[in-house]
Amino acid sequence: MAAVGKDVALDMRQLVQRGFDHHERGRLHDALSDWETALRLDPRNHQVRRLVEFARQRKTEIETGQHTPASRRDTVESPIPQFLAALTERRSEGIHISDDRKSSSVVSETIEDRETPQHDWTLMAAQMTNKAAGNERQNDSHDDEPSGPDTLEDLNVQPGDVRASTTELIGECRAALNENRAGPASLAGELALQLAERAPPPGLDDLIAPSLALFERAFRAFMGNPHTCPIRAIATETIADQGLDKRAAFLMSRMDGLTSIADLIDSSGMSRFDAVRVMASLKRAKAIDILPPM
Amino acid sequence: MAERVIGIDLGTTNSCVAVLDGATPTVIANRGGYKTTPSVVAISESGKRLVGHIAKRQAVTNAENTAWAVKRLIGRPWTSPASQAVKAAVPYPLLEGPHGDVRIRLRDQVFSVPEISAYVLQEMRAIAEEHLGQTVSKAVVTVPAYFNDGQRQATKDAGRIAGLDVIRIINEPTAAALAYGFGKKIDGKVVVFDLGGGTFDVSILDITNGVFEVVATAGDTFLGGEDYDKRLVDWLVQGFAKEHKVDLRSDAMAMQRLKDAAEKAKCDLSSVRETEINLPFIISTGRNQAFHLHRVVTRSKLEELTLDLTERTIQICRLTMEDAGIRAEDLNEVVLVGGMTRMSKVQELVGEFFDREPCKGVHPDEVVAMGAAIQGAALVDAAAAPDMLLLDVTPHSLGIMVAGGHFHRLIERNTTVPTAKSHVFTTVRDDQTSVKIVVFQGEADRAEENELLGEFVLSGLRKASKGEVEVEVTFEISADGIVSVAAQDMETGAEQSITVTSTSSLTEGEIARMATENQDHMVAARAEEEVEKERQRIEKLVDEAEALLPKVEEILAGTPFGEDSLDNVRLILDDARMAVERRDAGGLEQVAEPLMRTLNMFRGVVDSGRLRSS
Repeated sequence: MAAVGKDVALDMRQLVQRGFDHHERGRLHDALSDWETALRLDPRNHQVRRLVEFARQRKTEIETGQHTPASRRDTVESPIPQFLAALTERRSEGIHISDDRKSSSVVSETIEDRETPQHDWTLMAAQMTNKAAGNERQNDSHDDEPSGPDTLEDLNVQPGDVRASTTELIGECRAALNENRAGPASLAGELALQLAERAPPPGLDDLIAPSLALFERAFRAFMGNPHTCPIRAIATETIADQGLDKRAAFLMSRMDGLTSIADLIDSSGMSRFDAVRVMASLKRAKAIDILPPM
Repeated sequence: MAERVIGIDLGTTNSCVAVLDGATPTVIANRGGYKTTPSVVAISESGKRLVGHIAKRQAVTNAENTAWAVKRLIGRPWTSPASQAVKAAVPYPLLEGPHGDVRIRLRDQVFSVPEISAYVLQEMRAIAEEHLGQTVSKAVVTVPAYFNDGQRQATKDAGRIAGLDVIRIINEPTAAALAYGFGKKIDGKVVVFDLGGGTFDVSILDITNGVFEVVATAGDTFLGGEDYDKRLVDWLVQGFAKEHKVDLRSDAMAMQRLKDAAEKAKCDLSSVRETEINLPFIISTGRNQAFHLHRVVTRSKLEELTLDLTERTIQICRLTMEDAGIRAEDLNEVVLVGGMTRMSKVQELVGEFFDREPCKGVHPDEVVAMGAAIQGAALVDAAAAPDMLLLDVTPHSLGIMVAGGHFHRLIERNTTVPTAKSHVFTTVRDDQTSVKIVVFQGEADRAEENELLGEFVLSGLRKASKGEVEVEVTFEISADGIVSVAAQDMETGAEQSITVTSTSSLTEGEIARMATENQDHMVAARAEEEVEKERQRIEKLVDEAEALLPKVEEILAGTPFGEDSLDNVRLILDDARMAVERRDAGGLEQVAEPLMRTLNMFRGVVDSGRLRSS
C-alpha cells in the first residue's frame, strides 16, 4: 500500500506559483530562487527546469543590457498610444493634448478645416520597428513632460483621415509581413484595427474585413512559435493603464508556463482572431515573457 | 516486455490512472504534474478537441461546447429522470439519440456519451503510455457500485472507442478497499465514504479472507466538490456586488476565473486556516477602469457556507446503515475517498457519525485508480495479488414483468456476483405460442416503474391450455456486472437469450465507426505533432543560418564565391522561412536538405574566416 507522505508535487507547484508572482513583480532573483528550490524537489520536472533556465538566461540578459524589463511604474507605457500621439501631432498641429494624464482629454480645436498633411510613413515604420524591438522605452525621467493620450479614444481624428491612415497602415502591415518584420507588421495591424474601431459611421468594414486574415497572420508571426508558453512579466492589475482590457487580464490568468500560445488561444473563450490579437498586444507591451515549448 | 494493465478511475469530475509497479500501485501524473485529470472534453472554436485541464480552464467561457460530468449520463435513456435532471443543469445541449439514448452537441458535432468518456479514457491511456514508454491496450475501469447493467456496458463501450480492452469493470468502493487492504491483512466491515467532485457514494463492504463483498451502497449523483465551490463562488460574487455594485455573473471570463480560484482556495483551506483570493482586473467599466477582486477566506467561513452539504452526506450514511442493519460498532474501518474528504469538517462529521477516526492511510483521490491497477495486475498475473478474490454485489434487483404488469424478482439486490438464478414460469393464456420476456432492474413492485433493460420473444411454444406449458427463465450476471437472460421451452428445449445491452446503448456498428473515427483523429493529431517538431527543427536551423549570414557575406565579399551564390542561399533561407511560417509539411521536407547544406557551408566559411583572421 502506498503510504501518504508529504505531497512533494504540491510543494513544488506552490513554489512554481510563488516564483511566477515574484517574476511578474520584477523580483527575478526571488523567482529564480523559488524555481531552483522546486527543481531540487523534483529534479526531473521539465517544466521547472525550463523556468530555471529562462530565469538564469534573463538574469544574464539584464546584467549585460540585452534585455530591458517592462517599467515597474504604476503606468507602463504601451508603444501604441505613444506612436499614435506622434502620428496625430504630425498630422494636426492644432490638436492639443491635455497635460493631465488622468483625464487625457482633447481640449483644443479640431483639424476639420486643415489641409491633410503628408504622412511620414518611413519615420513611422522606423518608430514602429524600434518600439517593437523594445528599444525606445520611456524612462521615469519623462514623467514631467506632457505626454500623449492613453487611448485612441482620446484622439480627434477626422473621418477622411481615418480612412487614409487605415489604408496606409494596412499597406504597412502587408509590406512588413512580406519583409519578415513581424513586430512592425503586428503593430500596424493593431493600429489599423484601433482606428477602424473608432471610425464614425458608416465605419471601415469595407477596408478591414478583407484585411483580417492579414492582421491575424501578422499577430501570429509576431507571437512566433505557437508551442511556446507565455508567462506573466508584469502584474495583471497594471495592464488597464496600458489600454489593455479585461480579456488581456483573463489570458494572463491562464498563463502557467505550461499552456502554449496555441492552447491559450484555443481555450480563451474568445474568437481566435481576438485571442491572438490580445496576446500580441500583451507581448508588445512586454507584459509577458515567452518560454520554449514543453 | 509483458503488457501492463492500467487501472482507471473514470470519475465524474476527475479521472486518475495507476499501474502496479512491481508490488506497489503507482499513480501516474500527467504532463502538468497533476495526478488527476479533469473529466472534461471541449471542442474549441477551431474545432480542436480539448481534454482535461485545458478543457476545464475554458469550461465557463466556452460553456456550450464543453462537456463535463457526462458520467451522470452514461448508459441512461433519454427519458430517464436522471438524464432530464442533467439536461436542466448543464449549459451544453443534450439531445435524444437514435436509440433513445442521450447525445451531446458540441459545436456542429453530435457525440454519444460513451464517445465523450472515451476521450477521457484515451487521455488517461496517453498519460500512462508516456510514463511507461510502451503501448497500453488493457485496462480495468471503475464505476460506482450502483451503476446498472446499461451504465456498465456503456462504460465498456467507451473503452472500446478509446481503443482499450476493458478487461474488467469493478466497483469504485471495492477498488478503494482493495487498495486500502492491499498487502495487509484486513477482515471485517469497512465503510467507503466517497465524496468526489460531482457525486457522493457510501458503500459498506465485508472483507473476509481476501474476499471483498459490497453489502450495501447508496449515494447522491448531484452532490460533490463542485457544490462546495459554487457556494464559495456565490459568496464572492455577493461580496463583490456589495463592494463595487458590479455583478460578476454577467461576465463569463470573470466567472471562469472565480470558479478556478474558488476551487483552489477550497483545496488550500484543507491545509491552512485562511487563504487569499486575488483576482486582479477581473472586470472593468466602460472606460476600462479595472476592478480587482481581493478577499480573504477562512476555513470556518467555508465550513459555514457548506455545512448543509456535508450534513447531507451524513444523512445518506445514516439511511444506508439503517437499511443494511449495521451499527457503527459493527464497523472495523472507515475509508475516505475523493478529494473533498480532505476537508477537515467532512472528516470531523464522518468521524463523529461512525464513532471512529477515519482511515487516512491512502490518498483519497488516488486510491480508486490504485485498486483498479491492483485488480488489473491480478487478472493477468495471479501472482501479482495472491489470494485476492473480488466479489461484488448487484446494486439493483433483476427480474421480469409477469401477468398484471407485476415485477417478478429473480435476483435480489446486493446478491454477490457472478451469479445465476432460474425460475419456471407458465403460459397465462390458452393456446399461447410465444412469451415475451421483458427484463427490468429496480425495486418497485410495478414492473414499468423500474428500469427497462431489454426484451425478447421465445416463440414456437406448443398450443395448450394456460398454465400447462412451462418456460424456464435464467438470469446470469458476470463478474463485470453484465446481465444475460435466457428463456427455455422446457418441453422442446428451444431457447432464446439476450445479453442485455441496455436500450440506450450503441450498436456494434456505431461503436466500430466511432472507434475508427477516434483512431483517425489520433493519427491526424500525431501527424500534426510530427510536422510541428520538424517545423521547430527547421526554424532553429533558419535562425542559425540567418545569424551567420552577415558574417558569411562579409567574409565572401569580393571572393569568387560571388553574389549569385549568396542570392541562391538567400532564396533557400526565404523558402525555409516561408515553409516554417506556413507550417507546410511538404515545404519543410523540401527545404530540409538544402538548408542543412547551406548551414554547413556557412559554418565552414565562418570557421575558415576565423582561422584566417587568427
